Amino acid sequence: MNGERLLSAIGSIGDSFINSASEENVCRIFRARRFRLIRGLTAAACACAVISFTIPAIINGRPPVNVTVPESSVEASDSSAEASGSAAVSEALQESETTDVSAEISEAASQGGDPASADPQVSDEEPPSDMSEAFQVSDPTFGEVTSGEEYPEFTDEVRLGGWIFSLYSREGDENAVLKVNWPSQAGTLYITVYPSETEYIEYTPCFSQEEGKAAVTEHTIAGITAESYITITVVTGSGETIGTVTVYPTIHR
Amino acid sequence: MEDSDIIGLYFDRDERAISESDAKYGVLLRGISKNLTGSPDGAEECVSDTYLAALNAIPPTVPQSLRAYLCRIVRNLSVTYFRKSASARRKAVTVPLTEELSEILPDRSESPETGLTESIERFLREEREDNRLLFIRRYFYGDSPEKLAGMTMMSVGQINARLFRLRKRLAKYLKEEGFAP
Repeated sequence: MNGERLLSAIGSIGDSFINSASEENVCRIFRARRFRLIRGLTAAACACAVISFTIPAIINGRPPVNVTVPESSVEASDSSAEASGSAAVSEALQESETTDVSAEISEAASQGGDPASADPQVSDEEPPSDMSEAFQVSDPTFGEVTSGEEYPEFTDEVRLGGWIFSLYSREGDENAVLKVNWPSQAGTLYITVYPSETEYIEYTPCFSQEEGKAAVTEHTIAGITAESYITITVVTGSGETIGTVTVYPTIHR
Repeated sequence: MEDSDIIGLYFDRDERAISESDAKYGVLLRGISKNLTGSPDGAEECVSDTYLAALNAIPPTVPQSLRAYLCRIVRNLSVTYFRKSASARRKAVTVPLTEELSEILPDRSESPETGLTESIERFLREEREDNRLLFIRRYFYGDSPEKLAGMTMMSVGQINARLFRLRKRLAKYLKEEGFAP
């Protein structure tokens, strides 16, 4: 039977094919592709909003209305800042096959394609220019985290890009717990504990998270003392380094 | 343990090669085998046979990638298990897999016996990366469309549609390569 013959033939494909299709890699590729598509569509929506305000004003012989599109939403829409909305959309359409696009367009639109409702907080996708801005100790309850849970015992909330880190430590306990709130983006965390310089690497390839809700992971960090601090470098699934932050544990007394 | 160290254990005929291989790749291998045989017992048998086959083949074989090498063995053993076992045939996902692939080559086609794998590899190289990965996950690893949908954040319908188009393109490609009339 030729179906079985084909099945056997596929069983002999080369190592590179087999290794490239690891579960982690598949998650990473599809997540990056989806992110690019949504980014392109958001840029296009912003461009359309500007055009829809400007052209009627020109036709009516009036100077264009001074339209203010939130800069942060434009930046988040296309970090390269060179692709116009239409170019980004055509790129996105080329990447995607026709029947897939319609569903993803409607989904993307419902996720934030409306420029009027563009949330300036999406600029979190950009690395902060000043690392001191990234180090913000704020409300310990993970106030803006949409995980649906609260962690009042966690302190030292530190933000970097779309990532939020929070550390819980107790006096006399050398194991601290690092809670990470992930944006909808895969990535790798390179964690180093000082002064011992113990290194951890945490790779999170894929979340089965609900739409619009952030995923939260917990990592045990050993060897924490009152003098310890940890640094975390975030590298996205596509290899972009977002930056490094320092988190100081608060030893509860 | 690094792959090179595990391969070293195989070369030394050290039985720890099996336990170390199982610690590193056991979950992956059982997953593939269970996908294809549909039976945890069958998967366990195929994985055990995989380690024995590797122990017998290394040396002289020196796998470039131990992961791919073990995956290939367990997959082929699982397909063989499926062919031999009537109960596996009733339960296994291999049945829909073979049915899907049967559409590509007609049963009575007098196609060449050799070169089919090479043609499939050429076809996959010409495909876009995401389609290539989807094809390999479905037809090498035996993942169900439901699992692929979760992995890729797409719907099952989208996955099935993509796989259908991929099969059609592969059928056309193999026809041009002389594998079908």
